[in-house]
Amino acid sequence: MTPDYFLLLLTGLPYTFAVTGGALLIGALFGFPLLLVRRSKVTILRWTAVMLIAVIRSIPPIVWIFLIFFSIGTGVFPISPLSAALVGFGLIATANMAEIYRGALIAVHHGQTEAAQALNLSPFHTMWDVILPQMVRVCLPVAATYAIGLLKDAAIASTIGVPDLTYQGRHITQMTLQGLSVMGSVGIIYVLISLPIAWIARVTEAHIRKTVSL
Amino acid sequence: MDQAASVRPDPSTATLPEDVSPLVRMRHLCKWFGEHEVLRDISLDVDSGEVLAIVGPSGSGKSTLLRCINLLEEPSAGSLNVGELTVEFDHPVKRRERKALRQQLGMVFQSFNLFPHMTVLENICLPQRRVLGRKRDEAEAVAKDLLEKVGLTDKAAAFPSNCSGGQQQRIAIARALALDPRVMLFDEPTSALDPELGLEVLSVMFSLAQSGMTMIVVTHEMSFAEKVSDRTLFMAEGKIVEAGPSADVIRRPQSERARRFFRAVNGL
Ligand SMILES: Nc1ncnc2c1ncn2[C@@H]1O[C@H](COP(=O)(O)OP(=O)(O)OP(=O)(O)O)[C@@H](O)[C@H]1O
Ligand SMILES: [Mg+2]
Repeated sequence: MTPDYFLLLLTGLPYTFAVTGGALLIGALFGFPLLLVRRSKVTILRWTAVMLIAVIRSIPPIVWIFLIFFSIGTGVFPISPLSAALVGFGLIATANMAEIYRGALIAVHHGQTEAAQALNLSPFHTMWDVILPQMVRVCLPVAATYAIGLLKDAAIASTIGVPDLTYQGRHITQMTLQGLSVMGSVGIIYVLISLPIAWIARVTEAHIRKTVSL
Repeated sequence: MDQAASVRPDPSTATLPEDVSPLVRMRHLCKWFGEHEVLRDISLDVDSGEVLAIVGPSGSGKSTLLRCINLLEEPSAGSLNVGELTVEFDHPVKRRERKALRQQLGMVFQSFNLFPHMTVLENICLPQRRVLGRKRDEAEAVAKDLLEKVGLTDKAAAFPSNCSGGQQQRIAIARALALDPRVMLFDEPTSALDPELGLEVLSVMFSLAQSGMTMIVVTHEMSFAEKVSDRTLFMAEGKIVEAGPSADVIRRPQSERARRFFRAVNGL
């Protein structure tokens, strides 16, 4: 593979980062309100959230992407491939992050809430000062692992024409017919992105053992 | 026997005459968990400055009684009175009532429950700032003063995970005291600790009692109940079986149920 092609391959990187990072950001933001609805005292709200999370998670990402891009995107209002991918993966990440948050909330010792209540902290400050910081610590390694999964899923965006790493790989392969070196490079790049994220997961996990769980 | 009975007129309650106004007053408190009646018609008074020990077999409702006082559990019926505030449990407790009640109460748990992501100093300062609206400087001054009282000045910057159990419990006591409670509730504060570490905690509690703090202490430490508390309450099956001066209840229990319990505790 010539340097020119390699540079072309690298132009896919920003798109891969945009889809993965964008979806993760959407999920991290909207996952929390979804968790709150999921734990609402109002039964209908709670069940709506449960159903929503279950539906979002049981449909394969590729189906979601096609659904958004080819049905909504071509019908009601046109939508760019990148936007469709962000909406689709953002939706999926929201459901998954809500579940990750829920696991973290359960992992925070019940005595923490009780101590905060006994100290007369308001429900807001109990969440904000006591529970949330511990949840974040518990979440980090799980979320980092999830991010690696999302990074790989995000390659699906190439099928609707988002010019990401996988898209460029396939494109260059078709031009050069050098599948091994081109797709091999693509694979190596994915590994190189995943490694630091996996490292974050391990380091934060060790850190948590020290500062959260007792 | 007659004489002892006159000291303890009604063994099933521990109330003062109606015209005396205690700091904590409970009337006909009941607590159900589903079908299970855990507290049965509890009436109890605690005077200002009094140290009350609650003892009894496992599952008798001691923790539930304590948790009903600061509404970590909501009683199913009855009324509760702390200071000037009265809460009737014929309606769901209002947020305002809960706040006003907890404002007067400090609680210490068996498992310490310090906030693990904050330093010791932050643990003691945060509630003061959030609940009482104290400025950081003021909160830190209070915290340092209390840390000195519990003998842990050098731990201010440490994280709870770097403190021993006994130290953590003393910090938890300081954290509760920082909010100027009128009554301190203790739920088996030493039972998660080695005897030696438990002793440091007991000595802090002892000086707290000496300073005139009103305390309600659920405990398995009979020596603490006998030496430090003014009165001891023996509970079984959700009821107050005996109440009276600690030495009387522990040394000369009147009911068969209490005699059986204290025999078992003393390993006889
Ligand atoms: N949240 C709850 N839901 C249902 N049942 C409960 C709950 N909390 C306590 N109980 C039950 O209430 C009874 C009294 O419990 P409690 O914890 O008050 O006893 P205790 O006297 O403190 O016992 P121990 O000495 O073991 O701490 C027990 O039978 C317990 O199983
Ligand atoms: Mg208990």
